[in-house]
Amino acid sequence: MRILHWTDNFLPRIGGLEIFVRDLARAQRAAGHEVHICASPVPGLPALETFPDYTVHRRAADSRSDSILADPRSLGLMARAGADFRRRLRPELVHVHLCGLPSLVELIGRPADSAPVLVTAHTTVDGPLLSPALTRRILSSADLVATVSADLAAALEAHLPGARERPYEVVLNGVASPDLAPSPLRPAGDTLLAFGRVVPEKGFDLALRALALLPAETRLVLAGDGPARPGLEALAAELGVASRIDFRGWVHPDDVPALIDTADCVLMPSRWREPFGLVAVQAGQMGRPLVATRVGGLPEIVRDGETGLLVPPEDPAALAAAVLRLRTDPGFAARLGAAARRHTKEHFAMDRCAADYSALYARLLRARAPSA
Amino acid sequence: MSQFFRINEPDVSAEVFDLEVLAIDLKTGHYHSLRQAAVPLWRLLVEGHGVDDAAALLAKALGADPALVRNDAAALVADLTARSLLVPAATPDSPPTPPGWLANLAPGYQAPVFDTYTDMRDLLLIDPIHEVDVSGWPHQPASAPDTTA
Repeated sequence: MRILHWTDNFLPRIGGLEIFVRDLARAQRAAGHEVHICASPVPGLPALETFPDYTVHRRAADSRSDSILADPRSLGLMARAGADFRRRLRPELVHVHLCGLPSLVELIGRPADSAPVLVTAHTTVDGPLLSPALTRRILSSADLVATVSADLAAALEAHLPGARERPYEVVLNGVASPDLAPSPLRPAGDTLLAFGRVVPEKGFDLALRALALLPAETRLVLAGDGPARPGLEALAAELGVASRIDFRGWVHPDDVPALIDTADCVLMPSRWREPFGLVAVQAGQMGRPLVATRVGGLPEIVRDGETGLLVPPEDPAALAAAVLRLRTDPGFAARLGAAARRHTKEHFAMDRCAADYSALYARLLRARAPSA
Repeated sequence: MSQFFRINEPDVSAEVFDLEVLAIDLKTGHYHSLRQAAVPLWRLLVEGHGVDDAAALLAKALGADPALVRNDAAALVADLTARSLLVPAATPDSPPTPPGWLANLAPGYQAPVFDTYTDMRDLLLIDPIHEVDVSGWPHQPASAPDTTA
């Protein structure tokens, strides 16, 4: 099948969605599909690049530019270019990764006799992410909409009631297996790790407050960067834990498994409704016990008491208590880590994710096929 | 007597796609989306057919109830003129012939859909949670190598 992934950014721009689309494309190629990815332009890179597993087509117009405000007609030109591209490529299925304007452009210019469109919603709409009206427009125009967690489906239904006549399909994200085999968990280890974009939504301040409640030998590695970092550094000083925190800064995604391997416990203290929870899966892949908040899609990834521990959001004491429980019961921590590794392998492998999408693609194509 | 309309150029820019008409008011920056039966009705109107003629042609092409289509067409035209996307035009000297593309319409009548988005800024992605740029995510230092695909 010739599959076209339609997204906003793609590599070498780096983000969770970019990595996901790349790994899904690789899995689909391994399954015998022809995979194309259409993404926003990157200065200095060609419009067309062919890689072993997929071909990247970069659009001429950057949807992030202000051109659309300067000249509203550019929206029509973008849609026209998208329609022409679709006619040339003739994909059998278009997989749109919901991303605002590029998604809209794709749907506006959609040829009448073209391939069915599956939209995957990767994030919530209860914040200033996408215009609700436009998100509704995109969701209502797609042939099928998948969400990366059941909680995200519920959130979409709550915020945009009736946007879809049919239920959302839930396809839990897959994560490519790391090349690195996890090293054994150290008994009663005292290195905690939290990583991700350093923004208030991730709740890293709660990790700092929990650290202040834990024995003095406990250390926290905080990897990532973002606008909340200066505030966190000030909070660390205020709490008297600055010397126990390693603000690691930006870490390349390829280096994340090795980083996790150095930790004894991974924290995910999010306070926002995480649509999925990539960090939780990555911790599980490396056999590390996880303490996460019971928000968004996280309970769909973490089985409380079996593959990790879930605590209420905004509760540093509960976070600290969960860490202490793991530290004082190394056997329990090891069992959680081992179970998390099995669980992620079984439920969050990219092959499983690709197979789930293949089944949805097949359903869409069957629905389009002329009846005998 | 049937009314005739034209696009309110140069204030309005319109692009006709297979499944949607994208009409943009260049003075306000408002973006209007016409879908379903609104697409062929728009095309017929701007090709010089009067409202009644356009409704009758579409009803015939799709095997739809002429009265239903006429009512829908009248309501759509009211919306389009209220938004100043279409303005009245002179009666043409000779009636246009029915266009060939009517025969290629997908069967089945679906009522016109007309949506208006009043802030072009809504079209731009504002995503503080998942924000990437060419320098990477979250803020890839200049020394870090690019990930090649």
